[in-house]
Amino acid sequence: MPKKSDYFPAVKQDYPIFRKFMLETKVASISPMLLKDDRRRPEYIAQSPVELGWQGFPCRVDALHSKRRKGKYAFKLSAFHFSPEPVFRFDSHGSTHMNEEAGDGLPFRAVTTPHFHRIEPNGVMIAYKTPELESGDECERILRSPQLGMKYFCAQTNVCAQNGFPIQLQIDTNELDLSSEDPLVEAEFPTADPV
Amino acid sequence: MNLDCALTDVIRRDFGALWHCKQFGNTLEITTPYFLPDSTLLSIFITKRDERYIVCEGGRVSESIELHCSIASEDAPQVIHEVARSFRMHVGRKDGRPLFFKECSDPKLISSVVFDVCSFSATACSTLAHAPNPRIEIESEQRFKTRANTFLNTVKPPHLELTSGQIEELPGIRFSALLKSPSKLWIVQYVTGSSNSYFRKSINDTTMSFHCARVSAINPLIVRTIPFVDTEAAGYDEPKLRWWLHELDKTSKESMVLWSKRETLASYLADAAA
Repeated sequence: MPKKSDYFPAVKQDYPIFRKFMLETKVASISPMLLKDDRRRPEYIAQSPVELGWQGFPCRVDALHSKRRKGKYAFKLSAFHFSPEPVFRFDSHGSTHMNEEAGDGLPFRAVTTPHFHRIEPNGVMIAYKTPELESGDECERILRSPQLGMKYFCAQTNVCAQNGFPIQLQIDTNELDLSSEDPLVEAEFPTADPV
Repeated sequence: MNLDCALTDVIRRDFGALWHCKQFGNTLEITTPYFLPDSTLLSIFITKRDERYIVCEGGRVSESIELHCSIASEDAPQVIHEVARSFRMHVGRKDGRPLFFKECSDPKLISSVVFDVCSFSATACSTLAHAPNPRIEIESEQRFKTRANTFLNTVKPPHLELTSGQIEELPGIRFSALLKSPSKLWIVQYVTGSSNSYFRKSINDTTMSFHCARVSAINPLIVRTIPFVDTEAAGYDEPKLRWWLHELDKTSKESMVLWSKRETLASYLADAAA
């Protein structure tokens, strides 16, 4: 598996433009975003083009919800001028991200989920938490509600629907209820000899 | 601060702070300090079935296998099963995919099992991330082949027929380009490689192919055996390859052509005056 690149040289090179892009109000043309089964992937997914009035600057928001793991969802903002990879992300569940040392010491490098990912002026993508993503009631609500997570994602990225409010999500809840909170509930562990 | 082994207390404390745990039903998801190639920390999962404490990697390894197979080669599962064997891992299943685990019934042994599962998982994911990727080499070869073919088509004398592939008298050897008149033959072999070792392999294969051609029945027809060397390849490093290129030039009877000086090739074909 190749290293998922944390490094965005085009962002580093044009950081003032990237910063302006992130601060600019961006409008998603599709809201509500309807998450559908993509049979090739382990997720339900929806996409919306995003406009900020910049010529030749295609952008997109992706919303994903895991089929295999209850409650696990993610949002991504892509700006293809800078990279084919998303330039901003939110992950509700999943692996802890390990940032490079920023002067605060080893324990602070590990950022558990839920977390955002943003690109720093040096072009490196880091993970970080805003206050509502540290533990607590609001964090628990975010973990249980993709719509609430989207509200915070929109706030961080300055993305909104055409009515100025956060993007709305539509998810077929009947399908999602099939998954269990316990990620190993359907796993089989035979008692045979080792490989 | 004085340097003494009390420093390990600080290191131990900071490393210890990297461990996190969340409970999901009957399973614990534990973040470990093991660093993976995609800048995440390895999570392991502990669940209990009757009196069995089962520690597994949650499918992370099989995700890496799938990603590797989609972009590189199909032999990843075999490599990983060999790594699993050396760590004496057991294999379960979830969603139709392998799940690597170990277990114990004595709680005192859980941390030892966690150590083994972490060591295996980090090794397996790193192996896949750094495995050679044959697809890159194939794409690199194809790129030079296209450029060289186009160039040959523009410089070859019009009465020469240009083909490629095998010669009947030399089964098993594929030649990049063959220029023929009724009684004469020019053999061109493209020499390229996305790494130093692939490039050396290409040189060695070409040396051998030309040697075979020279000792075969078609030798009297051969005007030149021309190695066409891709000087823009990622694996082209003239100082490191000097000795091999020198031998290749000798084997080809001083007919070697560098892409950077490709006009020479035209003059080698010019002695095809009918």
